[in-house]
Amino acid sequence: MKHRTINTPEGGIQLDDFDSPGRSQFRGPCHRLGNSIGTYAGILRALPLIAVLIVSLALVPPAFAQEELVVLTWSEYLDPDLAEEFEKKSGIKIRFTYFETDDDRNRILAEHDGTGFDVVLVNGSNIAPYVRRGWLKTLDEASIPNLRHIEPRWRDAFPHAREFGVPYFWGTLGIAYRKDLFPDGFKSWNDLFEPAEALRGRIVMIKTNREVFGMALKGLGHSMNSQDHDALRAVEKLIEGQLPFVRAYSYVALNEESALVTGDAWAAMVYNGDAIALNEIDENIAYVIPTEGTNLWSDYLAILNSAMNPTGAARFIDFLNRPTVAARNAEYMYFATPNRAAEAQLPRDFLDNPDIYPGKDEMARSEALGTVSPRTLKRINTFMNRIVQ
Amino acid sequence: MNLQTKILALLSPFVVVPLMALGTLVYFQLKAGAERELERELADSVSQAVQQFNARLGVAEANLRRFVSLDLIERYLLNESEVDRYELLQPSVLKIFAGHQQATPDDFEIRVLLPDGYEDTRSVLRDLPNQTEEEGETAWFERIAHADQDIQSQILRHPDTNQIALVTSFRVKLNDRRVDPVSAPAKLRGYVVISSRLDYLRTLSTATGSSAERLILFTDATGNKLFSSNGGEADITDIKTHAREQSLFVAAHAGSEYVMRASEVHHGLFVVAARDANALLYPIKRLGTNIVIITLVAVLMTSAVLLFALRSLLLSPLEKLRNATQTIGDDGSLPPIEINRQDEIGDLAKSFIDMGQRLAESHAHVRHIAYHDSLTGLPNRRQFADSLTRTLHQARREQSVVGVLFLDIDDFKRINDSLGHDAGDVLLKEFSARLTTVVRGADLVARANNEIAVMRPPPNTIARIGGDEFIILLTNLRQTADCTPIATRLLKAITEPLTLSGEVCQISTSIGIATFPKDGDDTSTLLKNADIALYQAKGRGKNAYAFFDKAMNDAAREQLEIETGLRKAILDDELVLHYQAKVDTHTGALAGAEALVRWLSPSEGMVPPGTFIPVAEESGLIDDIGQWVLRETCLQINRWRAKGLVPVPIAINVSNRQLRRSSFAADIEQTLTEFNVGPELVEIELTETSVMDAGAQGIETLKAFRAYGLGISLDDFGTGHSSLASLKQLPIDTVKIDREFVQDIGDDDDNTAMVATIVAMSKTLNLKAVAEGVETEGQLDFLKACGCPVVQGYLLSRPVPAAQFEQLLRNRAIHTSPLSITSAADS
Repeated sequence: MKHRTINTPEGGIQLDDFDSPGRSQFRGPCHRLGNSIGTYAGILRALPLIAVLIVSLALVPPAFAQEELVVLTWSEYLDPDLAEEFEKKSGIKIRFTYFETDDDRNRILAEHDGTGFDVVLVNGSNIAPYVRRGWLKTLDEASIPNLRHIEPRWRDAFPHAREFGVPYFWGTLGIAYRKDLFPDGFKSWNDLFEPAEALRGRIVMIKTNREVFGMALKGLGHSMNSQDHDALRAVEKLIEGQLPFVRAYSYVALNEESALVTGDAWAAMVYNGDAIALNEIDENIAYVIPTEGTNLWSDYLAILNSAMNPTGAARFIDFLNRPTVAARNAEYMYFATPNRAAEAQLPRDFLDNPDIYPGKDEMARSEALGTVSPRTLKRINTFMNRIVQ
Repeated sequence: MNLQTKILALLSPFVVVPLMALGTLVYFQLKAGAERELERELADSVSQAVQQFNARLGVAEANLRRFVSLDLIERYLLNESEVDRYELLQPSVLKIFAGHQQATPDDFEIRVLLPDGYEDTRSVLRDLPNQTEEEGETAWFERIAHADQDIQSQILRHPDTNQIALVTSFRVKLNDRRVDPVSAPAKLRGYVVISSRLDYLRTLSTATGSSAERLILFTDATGNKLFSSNGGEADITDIKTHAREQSLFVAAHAGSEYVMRASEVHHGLFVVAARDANALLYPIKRLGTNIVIITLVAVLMTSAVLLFALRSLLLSPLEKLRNATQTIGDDGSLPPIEINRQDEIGDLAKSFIDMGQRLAESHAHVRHIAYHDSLTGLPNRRQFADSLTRTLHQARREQSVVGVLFLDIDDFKRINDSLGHDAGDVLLKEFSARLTTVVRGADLVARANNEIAVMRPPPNTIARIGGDEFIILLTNLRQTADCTPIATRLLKAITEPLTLSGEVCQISTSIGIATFPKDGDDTSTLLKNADIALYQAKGRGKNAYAFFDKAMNDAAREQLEIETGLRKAILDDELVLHYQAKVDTHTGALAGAEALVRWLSPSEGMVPPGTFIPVAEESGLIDDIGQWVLRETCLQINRWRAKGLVPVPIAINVSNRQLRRSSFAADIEQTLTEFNVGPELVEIELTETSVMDAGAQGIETLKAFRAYGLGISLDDFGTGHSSLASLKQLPIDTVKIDREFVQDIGDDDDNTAMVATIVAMSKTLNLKAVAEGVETEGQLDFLKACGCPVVQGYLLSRPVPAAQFEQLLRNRAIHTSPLSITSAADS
């Protein structure tokens, strides 16, 4: 049992002031989503705070301050011991800013035009727009020697990833479900989008537009990056039709009060690592990747062009890619690391866990989020904005 | 129209008109108040709606400003990379919009438009199909693109919802601080547009007036209904004008009339506050009805009070006076008048009582005159008739006997003529006084005898019913014979000597007695029979009484009947004149005619003169007949004249009664003058005895006739005792030889000689001789032979009616002989 209670790091900003127990113990790879309602309000309320923070950060003269590193990342996406260890070793104080969704991060960065942070955790598909905005700094590979441990496949997984990003974790998107309550399980994504009657109101859907659309597209036999009008139209119908079965568009909590644990929800779209965490709480919770395959995601660490402390940023990234550090972090987070040297240090059961390391076939059937046309994006945004209320 | 109606008609307007005016005033005042109230109410509703709308509009604009001021939105608009916007920012922008929309669902669509009108971002909460993403060509976009103000609000029919919506837009102009110089003009980056449902207007109208009486409507500029608290079509024309004028108007909604007030809430959106006209007018109408009722009641009450006052003050006393007047009018008595007041009516009543008393006295006086004889003070014929009727009525019940005594003064006419009318009057008074004395005595006796009688018997009555005719009514007799003592006493009392014009005279009376029930059952029979009995008494030599006897001679009865018939005949023109020609024996020419009166009774036929002339003489009707004959003769002469005929002298017979009348000559002269008939055309024929009886007065009259120029002939000469010598003394110019002598011609030598002697003598005395009753040729020849100048008789002509006599007048000749007739005809 690897469950731990994680405290909010000192100096960090809790962007979401909801204090549900599930949240405070959240640990997830990319997404920490509110229970749906109130998220927007929380953001709005936090906005002035963020502004103050950013202004203060910008104005603090370096002579006064201890060397600092400002990191924009998911909350609880890093073994806190490692952060502490880095601070001790480097003497650099890490100031974490957490976002809750990719959209949050995009918004935060956009509002300040990519300034105010040193390091930002970005999902692969967002690297290209960030680059276009001129927000990201080209990696100085010499300053991050441990980059050599990274599996090249992940470095090239997304456009511009190689020049601007350092792979952090990768994983899959699947379905976590209660095998005791719903023994039929899920074979196809269609089982989720056109669910059995028993699942009415018992499904928790992820809130990321592209991923919802993508999985539905896969269920219908399309690529998750398809821009085919008819396919998109069919997906919209599917998603609309699924609504009565959806308990919420949110991300399930990963603690004992999670809807999956209580049995209020029988199935949820989750990332593989979180499913394992839930399984740690309740062994009736199983994780499945439907036969059509899934989204093969990977997150990257990038340094902003406007970084105040680019050197510290590179040191921090390099620290995290030390094989032992990366291995500890992966084991802590239940996510697969792209760091081959770290992988070598991981125990066999970790490496053999199919939920962490999908099989070859599954990998073959899966895709990464690709670029779609702006209009398609707009279409998906507009549609999901209406659905996810 | 009586006084009551008139006064009411006069006074009512003074009550009705002010009340009506007051009612009308109140009605219009209240109506005006209600209308002001309504106007205020509608104005409040309208302004409330406008305020609410403006508040909403303000909120929408505030939201818009807030959105635009957000860094995220600003960044979004500044980001010119479509893919970056959609990839990085659009979800957050949408989330902001959606969050707002969740709190404010009426803002059903929030959009970001690019400067060219392309719909970049659209947040809708429901699956609302998007009609177009290219708004650049639409009218509303043109408006916001070219508006002066960055913030624009438009009411329009939203193409996606096809509903009226408020579209609030913000035209965003920004500088990119990163690249643009600070002084550079802001560049148009796009538009943020909020589309809001106006459904709350419906709830607004429902909240302010949910009943059918009160409505809030929202319409577009053409008056089409957009929102209202209830269904039904509105028919509002010229809403723009109404809204501008801010005045009340009437229009239909859902089939009912409404009073409305409108206002333009926003360009293209009008609010109308409405009140059901009927519901509104109902209280006013009811008010009107109440006022009418109150006015009517007030009018009725006032009229009643007025009527009561009028009655007690004026009409009731007037009616009493009127009734009193009627009573006075009816029987002359003055009824008590119970009006005791100190006002004009009281004065009137007093005057009325005074007048009434005088009137009653006058009435009694007139009544007395009407029912009493003015000379003697006795009841007259009319009064007597009433008394007799009453008496008979009572006698029939009591089965008593009633005596009717008919009296006249013997030879009263003679006394009156000789002593004059004044003496006659004195005589009548004395006569009546004596009758009264006798009858009163009898009356007292009768009363004494009937003291125990239940009903007081009617008093005996004395009445004067004609010149010297009196009637005494004796009541309460036991038998017919009870009349005798009174009759006896009456005869005795009357014969007492008396002084008239200084001479001591003695008069007598005759009494005819008829009794009820023996001699008649009714007034007229009793009077007639008493009259007949009076004749009886006269026939007994006067100064006597006689009881009516059914066996009384028919002559008397017949005479009475003839007299009655004759009176009527004179009045009814039943008398006619026949003319018998007088012929000149020498020439055979018509010398004149004698007018002979004939009675053509419709019932009896031709009544012979021998029958009615004596009766007429006896009754005095001969005067009237004589008068009639004279006038008819004059008339006939004039008729002939009118026909162009030359009349001959007409002889009329005059009775000795006429002759005795002193005014006779004057009367005839006057009549002739009246008819313009000369004295030469009229001749008077008198009998020998008449002339003798007429005495001195008669001679005077005859002299007057002569002086006037009338011819006078002595009729029936030879029968009387007068000698021819005495004729010389008389003022006559013709003698008519009595028919007895003429008819004896040739049969009786004496009489034949007599005729010849008379003819001869009359020639000597210069009198004209006329032979009457000539019936044979022998008589005529004789008369011719002895020189009688004129003849008259059946042989020549019977008395003929005027029409027939007219022929003779034309021919002018009667055949005294065939030759002469021929010659007359030839000439």
